[in-house]
Amino acid sequence: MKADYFLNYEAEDFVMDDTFRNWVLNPNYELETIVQQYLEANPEQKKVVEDARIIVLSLQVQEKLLPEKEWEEIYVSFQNKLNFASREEIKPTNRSILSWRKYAAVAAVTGIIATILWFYTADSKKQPNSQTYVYATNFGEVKQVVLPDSSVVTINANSKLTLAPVWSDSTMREVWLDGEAFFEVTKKPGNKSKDFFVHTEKLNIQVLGTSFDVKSRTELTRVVLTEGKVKIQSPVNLHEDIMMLPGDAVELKNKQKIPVKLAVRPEYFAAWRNKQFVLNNTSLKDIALFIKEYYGTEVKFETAALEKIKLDGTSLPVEDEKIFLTVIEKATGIKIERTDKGIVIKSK
Amino acid sequence: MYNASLGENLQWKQFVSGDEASFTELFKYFSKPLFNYGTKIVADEELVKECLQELFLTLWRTRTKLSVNVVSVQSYLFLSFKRMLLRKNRQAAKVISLNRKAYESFAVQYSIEQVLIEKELMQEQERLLVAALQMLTDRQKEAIYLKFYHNMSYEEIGEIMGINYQSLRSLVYKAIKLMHTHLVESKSAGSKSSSIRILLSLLFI
Repeated sequence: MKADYFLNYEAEDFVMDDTFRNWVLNPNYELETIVQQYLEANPEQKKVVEDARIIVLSLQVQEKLLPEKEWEEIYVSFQNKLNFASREEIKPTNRSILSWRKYAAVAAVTGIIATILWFYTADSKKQPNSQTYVYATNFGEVKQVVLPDSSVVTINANSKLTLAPVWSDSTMREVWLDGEAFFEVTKKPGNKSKDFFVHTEKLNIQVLGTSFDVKSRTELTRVVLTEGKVKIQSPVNLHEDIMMLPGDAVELKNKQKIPVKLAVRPEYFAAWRNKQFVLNNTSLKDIALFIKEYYGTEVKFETAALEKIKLDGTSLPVEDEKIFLTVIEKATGIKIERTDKGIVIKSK
Repeated sequence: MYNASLGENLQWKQFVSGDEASFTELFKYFSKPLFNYGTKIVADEELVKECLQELFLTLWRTRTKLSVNVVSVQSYLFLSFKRMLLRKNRQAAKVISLNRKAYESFAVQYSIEQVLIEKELMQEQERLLVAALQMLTDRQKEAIYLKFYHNMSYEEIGEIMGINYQSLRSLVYKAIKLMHTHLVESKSAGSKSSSIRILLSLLFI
């Protein structure tokens, strides 16, 4: 191969030429010979070739490479997701939003009694292995997913649900939750697969077919029972079992060691599924916490007194952050100022 | 790259007909180049990784709507990926702050130190080249990156950037000419030294 066409080249032409660039970046014997022969025949082009060479080298790009091990993990994760996606296609998954009512009715009619066991094991931070599928929601997003056993989970904003892609009949069903979700768990026969576990940072929850809300956030872990009957077995420290009926909630605040049982209206705690925030003598302090968790916006109060202002009597749509904040402003007579770090609540 | 291209087209055909293994191969083959490209468009590496998976999973889910005979799998993927990244980047910017606009640029890093080491360039030469690189437009940087790093044809680059063949060649040519002009200037003493000093104060992305 001869480089006769190089003859009238200027520096720019050399740089644009694939063969020339190859010689600069990946020289081999053949390319080297071509260029040397050319230069011997056209010594006046030496400077031009040199300039072109410098330019080609200058246009080299610095690539920050990910470690190979990370790529391997990415490939595995992808294969699992692909696997999961194809399996989902085989199952009919045309669930309407309202189908959960059917499941709740079935659960009530067949009188499933569920037992929730609370563990205070040293090992309660059981982590999923690397082959997992993750459903995550952004701020302001609510997502509904179907698990491999047909259980339905509605995931609240800024939350993450992790599970293994494949569930067989001989393994137990388990998910890891960071954030908040409402579970409608199907009853399954079998020795191991009849148990359904929800792992959160502070607690592991064992379930047998029921509808309940689990909230695991920094300040609080809480379970609210909507449907069914529940018994909480005593962890090591307590003496009594805790019985839960629909309308009961069990809470474990950040600093506490022992969970506390309360009576609540469960629909308040599940209202987020309809994208509503219920005001029930709710203080601005609690609303600020919600804004931070749901929208990801930081909230500061001008004075501590403002935190105590309460709102009651209705529920607000949460889909639009701007509208939500405006309504709060008008209802309480406060002023909300936006900064580049978040919002500041001031008195008018 | 001709043979490789034939292989991709075949795998693409098989993927569209529902072959998971071929699709996984395509993913493995294109993920590194796409990742590299993605990080030039969007600074957030995690976002790029997420979008990479999301792009392919979306393609899988909508495979029945895709054309069996796509001319260049590479440019199709690059273009789709670019669009997805830009869209996500704009959305993310909205969530973080309503006031901040998503800054869209082509953030490629040139490894000019390499040249310095290899060629023992004079300081002046190096500074002029750095200045020239800084003067390249985002379009020029992207075109050169796709051509010189990913070895794409001008047709493919045209598809990805939405420019026709002629304009593209002209774009690249002008960029190289700019660099050459600057390099040549280092020979002549003292020309444009003040404007170059101003350029030097710009951050080198």
